[in-house]
Amino acid sequence: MKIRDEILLVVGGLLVLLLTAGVILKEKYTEWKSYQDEFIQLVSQKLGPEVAASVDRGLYQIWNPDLGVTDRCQTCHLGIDIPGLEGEKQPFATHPDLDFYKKTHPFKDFGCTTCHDGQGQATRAKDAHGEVHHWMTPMYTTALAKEYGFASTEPLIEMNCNQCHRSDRRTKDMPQINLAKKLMEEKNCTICHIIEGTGMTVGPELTFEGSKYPEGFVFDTVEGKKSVLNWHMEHFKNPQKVSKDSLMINFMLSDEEAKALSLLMMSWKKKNIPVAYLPNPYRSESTKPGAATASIPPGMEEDGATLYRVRYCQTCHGEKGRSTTAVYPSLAGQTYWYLVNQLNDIKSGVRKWRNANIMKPHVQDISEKEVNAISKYLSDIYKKAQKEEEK
Amino acid sequence: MVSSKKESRSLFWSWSPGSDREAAQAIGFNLLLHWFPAKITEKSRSWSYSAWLGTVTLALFVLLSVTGVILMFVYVPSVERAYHTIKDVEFAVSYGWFIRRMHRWSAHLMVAFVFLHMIRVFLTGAFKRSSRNIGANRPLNWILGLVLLVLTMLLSYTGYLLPWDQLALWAITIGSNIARSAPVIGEQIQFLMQGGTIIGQNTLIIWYTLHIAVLPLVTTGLIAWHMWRIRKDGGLAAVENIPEEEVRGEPVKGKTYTLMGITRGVRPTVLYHRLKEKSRLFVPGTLIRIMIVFLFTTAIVMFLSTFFTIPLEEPASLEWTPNPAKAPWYFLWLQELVTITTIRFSGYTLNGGLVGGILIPGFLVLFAAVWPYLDRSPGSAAGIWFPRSRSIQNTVFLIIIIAIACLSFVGLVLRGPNWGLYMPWQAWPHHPTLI
Repeated sequence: MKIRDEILLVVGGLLVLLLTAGVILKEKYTEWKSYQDEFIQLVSQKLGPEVAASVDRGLYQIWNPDLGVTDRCQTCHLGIDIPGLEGEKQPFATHPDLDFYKKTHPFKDFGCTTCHDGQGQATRAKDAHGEVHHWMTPMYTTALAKEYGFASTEPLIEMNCNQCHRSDRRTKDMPQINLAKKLMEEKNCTICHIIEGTGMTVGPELTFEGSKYPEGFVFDTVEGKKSVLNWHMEHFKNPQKVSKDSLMINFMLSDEEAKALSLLMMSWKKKNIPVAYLPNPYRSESTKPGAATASIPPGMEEDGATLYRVRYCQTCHGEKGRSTTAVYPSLAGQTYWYLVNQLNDIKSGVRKWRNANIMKPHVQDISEKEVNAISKYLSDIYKKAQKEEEK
Repeated sequence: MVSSKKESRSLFWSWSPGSDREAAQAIGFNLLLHWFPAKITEKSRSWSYSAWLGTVTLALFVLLSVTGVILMFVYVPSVERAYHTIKDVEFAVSYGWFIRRMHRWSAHLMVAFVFLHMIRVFLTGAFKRSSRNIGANRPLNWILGLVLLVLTMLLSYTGYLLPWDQLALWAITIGSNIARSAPVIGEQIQFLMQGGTIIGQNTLIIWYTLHIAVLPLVTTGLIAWHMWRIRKDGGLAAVENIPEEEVRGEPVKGKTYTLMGITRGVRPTVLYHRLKEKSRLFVPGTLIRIMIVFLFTTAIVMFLSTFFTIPLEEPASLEWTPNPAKAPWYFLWLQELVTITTIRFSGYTLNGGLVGGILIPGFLVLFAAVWPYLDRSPGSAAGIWFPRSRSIQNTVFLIIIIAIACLSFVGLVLRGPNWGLYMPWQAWPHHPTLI
């Protein structure tokens, strides 16, 4: 019995020693250390041993509490600020447009996750790229971009660009967000939504739409990927298909336009960005998105078609009075006196039924001449169309 | 030479013992130093009787204390920093991942082994009053053990909140909401637990202080008392079964050891004094066994920590709830009981939180505490596995244990989104993501 105990003691001791050795080896040969070995070899081959000697080993960290950045990405992505490694395989390649970013968005201030997302604190590739459970903002990869039909990650990165560039009217090299901002000016979203303090309350406030959690959305009716970004894409293309009783207008958007607007929505995050990081608000051509105002050209004060557009009637009732959304009636060909009566009744408050509350703010300052002109324009549309067909 | 020996002694001795006997007594009077006897019966140290489950638990507690202190050097108990310090431990601190996993795995195992230890003690009737030993009070040690069981769960539960991730926040939410359903003082208990009306910084600092100071100190003291009582009870209950003819002489009255070691009264007539044979010196044989248990326990925890990851979920957010939101595994049977006992019909609701979360477990613990005084089985039923005279109580006990295990299994494995039941081979519905 005694001997058996002593053997057990030795076996237990050896087991603990063995496992200790295992833990030490696991720590010593951790993923990022082998990447650093590989990188130094690559650099001495490509750029010479002097450059290789200047590469520091160890954990590399960018810490910027102002932006909430603790990024250890450069521990493996050692080559991003070393010119001459363009086109090398990851994680060793030089960052594209290095000079531009060094000048305008220095890595040591902005870090990596500010633009690319992912888990900056992590030091293992899978964790760092956020491709793990319990990490909500994975890094924008080409594979992820392809899921949304984009060829590269740039459209996704634009979401993060716009967190600072939100107030720009247009931003250089941001085609998706620029397209979305142009659409906002055309469609005038603030007719129904409050955005940054301006707008109406028909639809939900959108100022921080990008900060909503997936739990706040219903995905049963969404085709394709069950993600908030895809929810927005599907919803912009056909609001009533995704949310049956939605008052949102079906703008008959193309795929491209719906995607651009969805990226814009996702970029509106509630983030505390220090003023110093915002693009110069005085120099850039900036305006609140969606606050574009249309004015009546001189001499057109009684032109129905102009008034119809200037008062954004077409936003809900459609171009030339042909609505694309069931809840908003088509007005083309409606009788003149019916339109005049309804407009006056909504303005005076006599009509309260059938969404009159949505209409009221838009007609409360309308003049009698405008009522007549718009009603005439709408009631004439069918007659004009018939005449054109006869010709 | 002599003086230097005296000086070095003064580090450990407040007075100079006049003889070896006096020095030995000094140790004998000390609660922390006097866990083990000089001689021990063969039955008390057997592998098969006790499986050494209590010692495994003690080893885990030591591991937890050591790794816990290391973690305290990095961890910051603030709602802004806590989560990120854990990420740092995981990714940037040298061996941080290993220490954190050791701590977490030891904590899970400690809860499990305290349970197993309790099951062993009940099944062998080790809680029973001694029919032989004067000064033995095994029912008291059984109650101490139950308190230690609750303390272990509290230690684990308070540690659960510290990473400040979604798992932590919502597990604590479930727990404090169950506490709220206690009658009359429920809301005050919840307020006290949370340090306010919601779980936030106040909760974190309260639970942190409990976790790193109050509970470990109380537990250390109680473990010492628990171990010391075994010595005072004359060894493990297995000695009660030593046949009468192997015991000689009558119990002796004399000095006794109390917590402070100063009271005189009935002497703990430790049975080995009266055994003709089958007892052996504690050192080295039993000491080696203790070392074996510590080494193997450490090895198992190290193995788990090297090869199995532990979770750290999203940062805690009151804005959204993980689905399903589960309590820690050792409370899942309570969460299941709450589910089962929440019954609604025609506007009337049976409060499951009260019935399943407080009344049933409270009754079980109370009943276990008084059971040694209600038990009427003969003294010879103590210290053996499955004696016939205790077959009914052992069967009932096992049924309760199996029921708890089944409920835990349902909660742990089968519960999916919206607390629905999913078989292991059924996929859960896809969880929507941001992008």
